[in-house]
Formats: sequence, structure tokens, C-alpha cells
Amino acid sequence: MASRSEPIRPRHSRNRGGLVVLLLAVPVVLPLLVSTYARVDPTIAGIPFFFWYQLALIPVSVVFLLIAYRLVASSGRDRREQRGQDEGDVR
Amino acid sequence: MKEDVDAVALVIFLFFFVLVTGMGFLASRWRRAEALDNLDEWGLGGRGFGTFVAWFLIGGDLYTAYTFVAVPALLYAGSAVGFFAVPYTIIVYPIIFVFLPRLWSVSHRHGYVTPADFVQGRYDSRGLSLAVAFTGILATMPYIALQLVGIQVVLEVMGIGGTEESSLIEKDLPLFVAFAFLAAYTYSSGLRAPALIAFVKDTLIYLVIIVAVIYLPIHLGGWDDIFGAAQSKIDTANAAAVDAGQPPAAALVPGDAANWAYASLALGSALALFMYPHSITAVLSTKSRNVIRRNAALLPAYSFLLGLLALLGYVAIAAGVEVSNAQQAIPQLFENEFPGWFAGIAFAAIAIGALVPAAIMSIAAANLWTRNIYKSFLNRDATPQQEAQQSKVVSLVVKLGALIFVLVLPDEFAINFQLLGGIWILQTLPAIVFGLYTRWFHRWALLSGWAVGMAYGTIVAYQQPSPTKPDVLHFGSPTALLPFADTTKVYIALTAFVLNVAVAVIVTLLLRSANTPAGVDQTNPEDYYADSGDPGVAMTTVQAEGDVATGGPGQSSSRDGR
Repeated sequence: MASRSEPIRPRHSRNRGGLVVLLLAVPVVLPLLVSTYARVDPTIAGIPFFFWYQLALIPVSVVFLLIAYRLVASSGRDRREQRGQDEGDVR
Repeated sequence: MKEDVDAVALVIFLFFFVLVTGMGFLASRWRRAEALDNLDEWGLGGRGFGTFVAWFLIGGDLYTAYTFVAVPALLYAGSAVGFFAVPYTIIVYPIIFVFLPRLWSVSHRHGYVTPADFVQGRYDSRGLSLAVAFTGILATMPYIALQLVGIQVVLEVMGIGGTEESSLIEKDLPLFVAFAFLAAYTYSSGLRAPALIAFVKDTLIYLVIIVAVIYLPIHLGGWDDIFGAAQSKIDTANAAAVDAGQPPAAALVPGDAANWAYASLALGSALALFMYPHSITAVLSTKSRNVIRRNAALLPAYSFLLGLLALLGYVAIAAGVEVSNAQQAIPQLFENEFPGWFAGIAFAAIAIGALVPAAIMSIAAANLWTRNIYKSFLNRDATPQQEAQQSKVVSLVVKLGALIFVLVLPDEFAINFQLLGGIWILQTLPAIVFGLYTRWFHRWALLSGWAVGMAYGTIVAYQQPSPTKPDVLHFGSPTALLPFADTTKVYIALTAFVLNVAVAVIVTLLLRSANTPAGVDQTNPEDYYADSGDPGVAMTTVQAEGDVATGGPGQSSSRDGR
């Protein structure tokens, strides 16, 4: 099992990892800034800002998560291909 | 409060109950494995669930009946802080996205079934692993009990289950029957049962809530009128509070003073959620890292549902629902505003919504017992068959314990315990999550931090009087004044967590300078990236055994070198 000591993360994954963390920080930080949305106006269809803003944050967070997922999933494919070349058939 | 039983609602309710019971028993044949008598199959559903099944299973697990009853109840009672459930379930998904794939990978490579298994393998400390397992079981029991409270509330509104004056047995007989069936099919089918039932649960919940949030506002004159009614109820409550010499506690939107409480509740709960054994069990049952990440991006759909449901608390005010127990507000709203057949569907949705998480929680607690107490301390040579048998029996014991909790002790007790559970479970985060990234922390330092966090959190929670009920002197609030602050209140779990980490850092520095043995780490750095198809990742039991035979890092080889 010597092949397991090979580096299995591609070199560019660190940069990409940083971008992923940044993308994921957005849906964590925005809901924590309560003072930015703890108010009644403007209302939409009678719903105070406080409520509709937080509901609107949900699809926003999904967009950021999906972009992060795309990035990670494609770097996973890179990793798999690279390792396939480096190690041959491990199984 | 008590009224005649609506026959149509009851028939619909019973229909769905019989349906899911049948599904629960048949689930043992779903994705049939060669044998169900090991924990990978019974306790983790074969570790093979894809994105679709996992979405229902994890969703069914995290968004429980109690959430569906309690969150709108908070808004109904005039506390907008209850809406923190929405930011909480937004923040939780990026967290899942980042660290749970690592836990998944290392767990697959070493055959870990519980988070305490990982802690044992990483830190070589049965004490720390026991602390994690013990905290998990302790925090899960009242959580299961609260699922029963959810069913109880529905049964009360439906008018079955006797009155306050009837005997204990008569009053709770339907609950007892429901739980007996749940226990029986969990015993025979393991995690497959809640996974299959989750489809029914979520279909019903989505249907009910979408109909309710479209129909009710139109029927009641629009959201303007609904929030108007909520505001006037809040004004009345505040005026009454001021007359009684207390500060006004209710608000439509949290004031400046509550911002920190709101944010810390959201953050603390999000961090705690994935320390609960039942969440980790559901995540470990998936078949690959990407299933977890994809689900992290898709699960927020449930948060939207939860947000809409929370607003039904205000809808109940506008619809003139009058209940003495706020938790009955939502079921009562459905009974008042909808025909019997639809109310029956809504009641079934809430009750089944309690059964799914209760099943997963009891399985998770049973796995903790089996792996980290029974196998670690009582029978170190247990075979996989003995482990599965132990877990099956303990899942019954755990459910019985929860039932006694609800039947014998006052409801307040389960709710207080649940509050404590959130505080306690967060104290296992350093051992589990920090452990996924670094071995810097010393095992005994993590244990010290855990002990300090647990003690501090428990004491502070005990000291909190209720802001709204003057007769409640203890466990009245999840938030407490920040040490050295005048007015800023924060979630106790988070304060205890910061203290926990500080202690862990200081004690680590001390122990390292004293060269105290740190134990042998069973994991390798690349274990944290392993994915399905990689060497040593158990996709099926057969495959794992193959790895052991060829000297690969399978389950048994990693358990030898304690």
C-alpha cells in the first residue's frame, strides 16, 4: 500500500479551497449580522423586512453552496484523474 | 378545550399511521443486504444512501415534529426570537459542507459508526470517547421525549387520549401504542425504516404547509392583517406586563438588546446540531462525500418550509386561535380552519414527523452505547452480531426511557433537558471537529475543557429565571448575561463552548510542556480525504472484509493497537 503515502491533493486545490471557504463564509456571516435586518420596513405584501429578508437569505445561501459544490466536485474529478495516472490501478 | 373527535380526521390519521407502520416493517427488505445483523447494516442502513434518499432522511431527521410545533408556538406566544430557527438552519449547511465530508472519510476508512469511535481512534483515549458517547446519549434522550410531546399535542387537539382527569394509562394509551409500533419496526429494520418513512413524512409536511401558507393568508385577509393582529396581541401583552411591573418582553422584531441573543442562538444551535449523534448517523449512512455536499446545498429547502411554518404562529393569532398551551396553537389552527380530512392529513404529518427522528435518535444513541460503552468497557471482543443485537435491544431501552420521561415527568422537564442537551452536546465539538483538522490538542485537555463547559453550562442554565413567567425560577431561558456585561445576553451553549476551548488550549500547553503521553493516533492525514472507491473505504461489508484480509486499513486492523 505504498501508494497511499503519495500526495493525493492536486497542487491547485489549496487556492481553490480558499475560494470555497470564502464562498461558504457568506451564508454564515450574513444571518449573524442581526442589526442589519432587525427592522419592520420595507415590508413586502405585508410581511416585515425582518421575516422576508431571512427567508430570502435561504435561496441566496443555496446559490453560494451550489457554486462551492461545483468547485469541489470538479477538483475531486481532477484529483481522481491525477491519481489514476500517478498510481495506476490501485484496486 | 376538549371537544368531540372528528371521525374523518381520525380515519385519515389512522390510515397514514397504518401505512407507515407497514412500511417500517417492510423496510428490512428494502435495499436488501445479505444480513442485517451488524451495525453497518442495522445502524447505518448499509452506508449506501444516495442524494435522493439522504435528502429525505437527513431532512426528516433535522426538522422534527417538535420543531414544527415549538417554533411557531414561540411566535404565537409573541417571541420573534423564535424565528432564529431560520438563520440557524441557514448557517448549519456551510458547516456541514466543510467538516462532515472529513468525518465521513475517516469513518469509512476505519469503520467508525459513531463520533465517539472517531475520538477513540484519533486520541487513543477511552475516557474522552466515553465523555463524547455519554454526552450524546444524555442529550438525545430528552430530544426523543420531545418528539413524543409533539405527538401528544396532536392527540390532545384531535380529542383522543382522554382528559386531564383520566388515569395515566387511559390518557396516554394511543401514545403508548404508537410508540410500541415504532419500537418494533426500528428493532427489525434499523435505519432503513425511518429512511423509507421519511418519504411519506416529508411529502405530507410539504403538502400541508404549502396549502396552509397559500390558503390561510388569502382567507384571513392577507399578511398585512396577520401581522397587524400579531402586533396588537404583542401590544396587549406588553401593556399587561408593564402594568404588572415587568419589562415588556414581546416584540414583532427583536430589539437591539436581543440582537446578540438572536445571533448567538443561531450560531450555537448550528454548531451543536451536527454534534448530535442522530445527525452524524444520518450523514454516515450516505454513500460518498459528494452526497453530503450536494445535500448541504439542497437541504435548505426545508429551512424555507420551517420559516413559512414559523409564520403560521402569527397566522394562528390572526385566526383567533385560543389555547392555554402555546404548543397546541398549530394543530388547533388546522382543526379550526380546515375540513376534517385535511386536518387529519396535517395531524398525520406532525405525528409521522415525530416518528422518523425518534427512530433515528434511538438508533444513534444505541450505537453509542454499543460501540463506546459496551464494546469499549464491557465486552471488548464483541462480534458484529453481538454489537447489532446489543444496539437493537438498547434502542428499545432508550425509547422506553423517553416514554417514561414524557409520561411520568412534567413536560417542562423534557423541555429543560432539551435546552441543556443543546448546551451539553456543543461541548463535544472540540474533540470531534478540531480533531478532524489537528492533533495539537491533548486528549486530557479536551476532556478538561469538556468537563468545564458541561459544568458551567449546566449551572448557568439552572440559574436562569423565565423572562415571561415569574413562577419559573430555573431553566427559564437559553440565554444568559454575558460575563462582565450589563445587558448583552447570549446563548449559554456558546459561552460554555468558548470557556471549553480556552481550558483545552491552556491545559494542552501545560501537558505538552510536561511531555505527558498523547496516545497513538490511528488515523493518517490522507484518511480525511478518502472517497468511495478509494482503497480501504468500506462501501459494503463484504468489501471491508476483503480489505482486512489483504492487510488493508479495514475495520479490525484499526481497532487492534490500543
